[in-house]
Amino acid sequence: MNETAPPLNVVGEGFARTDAVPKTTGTATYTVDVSFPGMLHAKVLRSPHAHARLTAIDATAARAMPGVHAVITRDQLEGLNPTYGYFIKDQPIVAIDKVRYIGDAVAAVAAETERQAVEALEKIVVEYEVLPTVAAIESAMADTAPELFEEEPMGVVPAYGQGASGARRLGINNCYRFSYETGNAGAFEGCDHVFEDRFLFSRDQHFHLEPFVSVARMEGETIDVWSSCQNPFPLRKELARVFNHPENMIRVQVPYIGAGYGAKNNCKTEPIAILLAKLSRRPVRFCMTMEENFLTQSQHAAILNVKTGVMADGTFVARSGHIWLDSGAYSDASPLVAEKAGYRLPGPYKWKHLDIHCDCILTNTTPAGPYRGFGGTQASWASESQIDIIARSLGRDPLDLRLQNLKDLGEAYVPGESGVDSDLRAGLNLVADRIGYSDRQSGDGRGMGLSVGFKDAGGVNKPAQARIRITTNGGIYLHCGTVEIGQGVQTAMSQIVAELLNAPLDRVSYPALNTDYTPFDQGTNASSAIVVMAMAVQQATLKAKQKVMEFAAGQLDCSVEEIELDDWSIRKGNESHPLPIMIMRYYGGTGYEFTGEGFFKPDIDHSAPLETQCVSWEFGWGAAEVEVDRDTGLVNLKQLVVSGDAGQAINPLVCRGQDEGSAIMGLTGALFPCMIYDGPILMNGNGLDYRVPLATDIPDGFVSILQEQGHGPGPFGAKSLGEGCMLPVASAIANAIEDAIGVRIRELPLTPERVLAAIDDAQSP
Amino acid sequence: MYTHATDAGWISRSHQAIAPFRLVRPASIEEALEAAAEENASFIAGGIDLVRRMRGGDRWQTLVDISGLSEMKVTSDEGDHLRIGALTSHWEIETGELIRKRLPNLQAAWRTIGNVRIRMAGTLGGNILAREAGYDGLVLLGVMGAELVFVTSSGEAVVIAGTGAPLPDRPALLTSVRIPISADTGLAFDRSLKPVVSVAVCKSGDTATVGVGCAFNSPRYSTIRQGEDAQSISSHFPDAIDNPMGGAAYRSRMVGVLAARMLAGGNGL
Repeated sequence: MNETAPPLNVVGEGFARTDAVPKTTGTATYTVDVSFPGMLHAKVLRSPHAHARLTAIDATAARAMPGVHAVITRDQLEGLNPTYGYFIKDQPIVAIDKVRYIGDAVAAVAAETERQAVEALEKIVVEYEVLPTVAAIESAMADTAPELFEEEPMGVVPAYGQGASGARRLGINNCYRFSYETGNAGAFEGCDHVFEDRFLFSRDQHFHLEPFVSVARMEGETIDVWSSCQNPFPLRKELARVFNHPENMIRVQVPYIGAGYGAKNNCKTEPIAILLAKLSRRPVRFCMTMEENFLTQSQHAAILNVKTGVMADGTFVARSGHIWLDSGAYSDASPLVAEKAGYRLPGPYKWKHLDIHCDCILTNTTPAGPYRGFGGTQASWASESQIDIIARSLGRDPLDLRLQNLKDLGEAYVPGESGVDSDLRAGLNLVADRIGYSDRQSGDGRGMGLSVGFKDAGGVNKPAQARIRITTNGGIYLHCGTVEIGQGVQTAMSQIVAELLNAPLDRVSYPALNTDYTPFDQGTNASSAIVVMAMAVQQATLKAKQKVMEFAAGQLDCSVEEIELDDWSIRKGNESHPLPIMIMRYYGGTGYEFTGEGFFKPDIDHSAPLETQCVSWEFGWGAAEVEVDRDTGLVNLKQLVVSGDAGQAINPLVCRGQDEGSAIMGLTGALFPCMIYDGPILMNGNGLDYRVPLATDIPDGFVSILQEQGHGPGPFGAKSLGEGCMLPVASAIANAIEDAIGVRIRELPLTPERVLAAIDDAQSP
Repeated sequence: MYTHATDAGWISRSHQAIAPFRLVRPASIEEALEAAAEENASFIAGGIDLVRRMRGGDRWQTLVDISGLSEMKVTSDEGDHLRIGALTSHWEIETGELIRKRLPNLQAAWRTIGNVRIRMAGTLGGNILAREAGYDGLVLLGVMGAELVFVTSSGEAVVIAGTGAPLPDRPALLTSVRIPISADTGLAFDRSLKPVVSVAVCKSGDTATVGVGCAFNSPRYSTIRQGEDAQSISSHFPDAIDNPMGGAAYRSRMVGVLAARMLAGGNGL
């Protein structure tokens, strides 16, 4: 903030979240709570085979079962555009010709009770012709690998800007490639040292406590669907395409969401619920079990080859890389994740040349999609691990090497891009100082590691709209399409509005999202809300305020410059004029509402690789201290220090919650078993066997430091937050392990067995 | 997924889709046994594992809810034994004053079992009878030579944990566990490598009993005498489970490492 800015009253305060009471008292309404008289329950029959041709399916007996009102098999898809996806429309509502992973939907039943639906599903007869499977990236790319799609599904490659490109089907089971190149390809030749490393990234599940769930009903010919969904407007558009249905006759409503972490984008339960509702003409609820969540969406496992050229003095020169993402059985958001993983692989460092490819490889496993960090987690793991490898090889301290090469504040990330909006060195020094990095005693089983997590934030070419309504008595409604998914955005946005209108926070309401009247938003993702949506909210608020001020000035026969808005009164000199009286005097006793509309979207810019410049950059600085048990390989995390930069924290408590939550989520991928596959069979896909960090797993030395560097592009200087602090965790720990025992681990998760194997390898002659 | 419903495919049931059953709430152990004598009946208390199995497609005609049998929640000092009721929750074991006084090492070890939600609802008896490879209650009780006390229609039946002796035919109700108390007995437990392997060691005089969990389909036990190479205990056991969750060689090696470490002066020994 500049020195003349007025003091803030609401922004910057750590108010209790506006959703705290309903959520902690059990009165908050989630989609799982939505119910209607006569509502049916949907259950799904899922493929027991990882790859098979569907030769016959007979649901006759199921249709005759008690309580059954509708059954879906491929026969009910006629007349629809029955496949969905982001760039590539390859995932069917239920299997059409093949099943492509264990858990693929084959049929669905809507019955009066879930038990009746299950009993009906048990009557369905399916004949499969089992096909060879590919369960991992490398086997799926082999020349002899069976193809998941013999024919190319419908899809697009979006337009890219300077240096970036996309392509489809460049190899067997390769559904998409993103590439980015800049600078002189001969740059490696001038380097004193070139490092080539291969890193493996494991696969987490989002583990959101509210499952994938929707409730659909037909209201006349209007499709009315309640959904636990992060992007209701794109969902509406996709549903309109799938069902050949007018968009204005599809209504998506989103109550509170019980977390998503990226998983709840686009179609999940909705097409089945809607189709069953259309067939039965009854409301249908489709609520997955936790086990079904595991069979619906996951993070991308990845192989990352990274080649980096540096000068003898440590100056970074060139980096090339090839990433292969395990997309699972359907493309889902893989092309988008590929864009981001590839684009983020360089990290926030000064390079003269970059040449990155990221391929999406289909395998017979759970489809992979958006996951907090969105490719940045994979990229940071490889990039930040290799920087330590380079530092140790050059005899340099990893901290110093990073400080030497980090981008400067305001320096463009790559040609055509916006400048980074944090002081990277300040952030890194902060966590290094806090953990005691410079005084560390390396070796003897104990060590420290650093990492700089990095991602572009705010989405790509992302538009957002908002509307403000202010009632006669000063009640404020903020309508915007950002969903409250646990991140506290309802509170933060309301604080912005309250600040701008000089009103107390409790006068701002945040109505639940309904696509019939909520202004458009592209989705709640990419840590975008506090910048992209917040700019639209700011504009809407200021426009509404301007109308109020002009109205008041007219009533008081003065200029707008002579008056101030003060908690729904107009202050003119030492006079206070309550607005309700003025409003009713002019508009009548029934009152009036002032409104304001806001819009924000970055400009199209062909010089920017992703066609628009990044709105905000998100960083997570991390430092870890570990103690490694050389006999078991167990890594004991003694300290974990993370820090994000909020620019200006709209609500410091909310920001802290985001930083700490994302850091702990980063622990899952680093130190916990993750999703374990035995070939195409998921071994631990349930709540009992899948381990995520508990409160008791958090080390005593866990510290998060919220920075407010003041360089953010959003309202009051806010910038993106919420994903950054998970990005550095795995690599900081791996770097600490090497500092402790001199062994480099290149594969996640850092399980005791894997660490011990690496110790054994290092000790073997 | 807990079910493979038919050859046609998998179905995942929620709690709302479990098979219907008759619920009986007996007022006494005798009534419980009588109800459980019916065809296809099962006891239920905390319900953690049974409901999970029912979601997986298991069906029972009758569930006998024994959670109200207060006599099975009592912990009593019997001099050379501590008797813990089978319905005692993990949380109650973790916090019980009598257990703290008489078997502090067991209490400390039990504190590591389950997450907080399971510790509040799950019971000692349920942990034993679930027969899950990853459940460690029996690993601890086995090395301590605890007596599993069942009541059957023909009287009391006692099974010594850790001996591999079969449990009595149903209907039999595990009512309590009697754990020997000895001044020269020490207990240590290491679960740090779960879910790959967990190891409990109970030392009495110059003999130590080593129990291994997670690495086999059910807990395994062996003994080692003072002076023997503790790491060699690994060779006392059959091949461990070998899967992507954990390799057999690693599991086996860790049995020796953890046992030796505890015998060399770990907590409780």
